[in-house]
Amino acid sequence: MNPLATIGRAFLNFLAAVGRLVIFAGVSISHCVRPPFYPRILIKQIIEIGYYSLPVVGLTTLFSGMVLALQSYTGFARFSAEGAVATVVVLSITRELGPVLAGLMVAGRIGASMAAEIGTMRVTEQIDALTTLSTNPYKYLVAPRILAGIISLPFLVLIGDIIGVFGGYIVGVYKLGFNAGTYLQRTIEFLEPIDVISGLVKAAVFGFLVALMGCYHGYRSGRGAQGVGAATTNAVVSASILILVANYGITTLFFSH
Amino acid sequence: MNDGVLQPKLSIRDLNKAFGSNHVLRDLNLELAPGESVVVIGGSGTGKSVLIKCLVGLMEPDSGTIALDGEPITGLSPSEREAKMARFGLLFQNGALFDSLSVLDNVAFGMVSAQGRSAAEAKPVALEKLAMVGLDESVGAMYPAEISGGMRKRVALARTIATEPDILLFDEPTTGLDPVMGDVIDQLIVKCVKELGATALTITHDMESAKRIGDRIAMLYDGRIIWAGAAETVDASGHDHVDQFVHGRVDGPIAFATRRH
Ligand SMILES: Nc1ncnc2c1ncn2[C@@H]1O[C@H](COP(=O)(O)OP(=O)(O)O)[C@@H](O)[C@H]1O
Ligand SMILES: [Mg+2]
Repeated sequence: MNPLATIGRAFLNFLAAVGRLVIFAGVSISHCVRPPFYPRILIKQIIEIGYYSLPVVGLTTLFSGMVLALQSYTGFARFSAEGAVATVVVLSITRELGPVLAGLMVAGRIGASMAAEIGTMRVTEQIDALTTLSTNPYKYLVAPRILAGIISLPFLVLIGDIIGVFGGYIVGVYKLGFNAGTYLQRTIEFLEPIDVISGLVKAAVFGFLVALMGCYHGYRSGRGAQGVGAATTNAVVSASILILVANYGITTLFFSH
Repeated sequence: MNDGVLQPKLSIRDLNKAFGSNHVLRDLNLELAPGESVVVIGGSGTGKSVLIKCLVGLMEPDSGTIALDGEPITGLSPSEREAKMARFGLLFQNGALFDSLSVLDNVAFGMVSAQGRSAAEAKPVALEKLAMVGLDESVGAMYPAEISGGMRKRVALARTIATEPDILLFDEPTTGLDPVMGDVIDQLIVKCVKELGATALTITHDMESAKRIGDRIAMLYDGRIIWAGAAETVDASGHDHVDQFVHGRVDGPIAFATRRH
């Protein structure tokens, strides 16, 4: 075996995979903006992604806000900057933790179920059946899920932000002894719209990525239960990695001037 | 069918399809007259499903033409192809019912999604089609996972005929069913094809079923149609391959080929 040839082949395979994904994304997006639309499926998906993910995202951000308050308090106490706790909590939650944690949680919940559902439809020829019933599977299956991801995640993250800040407030006021009014004032004082907005933009991008990965891997699922299982794993792993990569990219765009 | 110059409803010319070195269809030719029911028989893995997938556009043939009422439907743009697709109804081998939808929504699917009818408008038609395959209204509210294999096949049949296509394709309609249910499905297929006045192409390896459904039987072997004739004549075709297949014998010209797959 020639090691160079192996590397070369792996690289070519990688490029081919990227190409397939880009084409899939392009076709999917083009169907998102062209009628006919399927509003009932869109609403169902928004409920599935936005509403049913609320408990998971709420719990995650609540405890993250709490631990953030605790950690920053013990850390900042070393140089007598305890007063910054509220600000640190709100900035960390809105800019980073809210969108990233929600994105990763939704990747696990929704990315997996989309890949499993669409993969099963592929394996049992339901996707072929759609085509023979003159229904474009991109339009019927993929587009509503991608739109629902883009629409739901910002709402989910906004609520997660509020719950996360509330978690910090609980720890700050009831455990660390901050004055409730002061804590809230400090929370709002240094918060700028861009902090929240950048987080919501991230959320929309992450929602797109999760839905895209779920649909892509499901759509290309191999034969049988094994194929569906692999599609599910790949959807979650690739969505999670892409979320972290995109997170860095978007942060750079917003905050490095 | 009494004027001899009738244009074929569906004509397949020199169809080729290969997967890598696996040359599945080789210059396959087949014609279906309007209203005719043709059954293609052949062993498993001979490319029967591939033939059907080429017909409905789920696979693109490597070469050859498929013409519907004399107009080619191969090599069209996706949207033109989609329009032609509406003329075909395909019953999938395993039903391929949408398991997220109720039985009634499954049957109504093509009418609502493709023909743009409202759900309220489609419902009575869907119930009528369900009745045609011997299922009553109570089944309509169930989900595919809740009904038996035979019932699922009937629902799939109802969904296939719901949009009243001109050409009905059946992929192994009786495979996986007990003989009694197989007989029931065969009779339903014959009845539906007749009531719709459709042209039908069935593929199967079930000889009993083939004789019940077909006006004409054609045998697919080695990628082409090696014999075709009226259904009654298949038992006495005088063709070695057909004889062996019809009588299910182990020895004969086919034996080597089947082991190769
Ligand atoms: N998508 C595909 N990719 C590669 N090979 C395929 C594909 N579909 C079918 N084949 C091959 O084509 C041959 C015929 O398959 P098929 O038409 O499903 O047989 P059957 O007559 O049992 O329906 C088989 O050898 C199968 O492996
Ligand atoms: Mg088959």
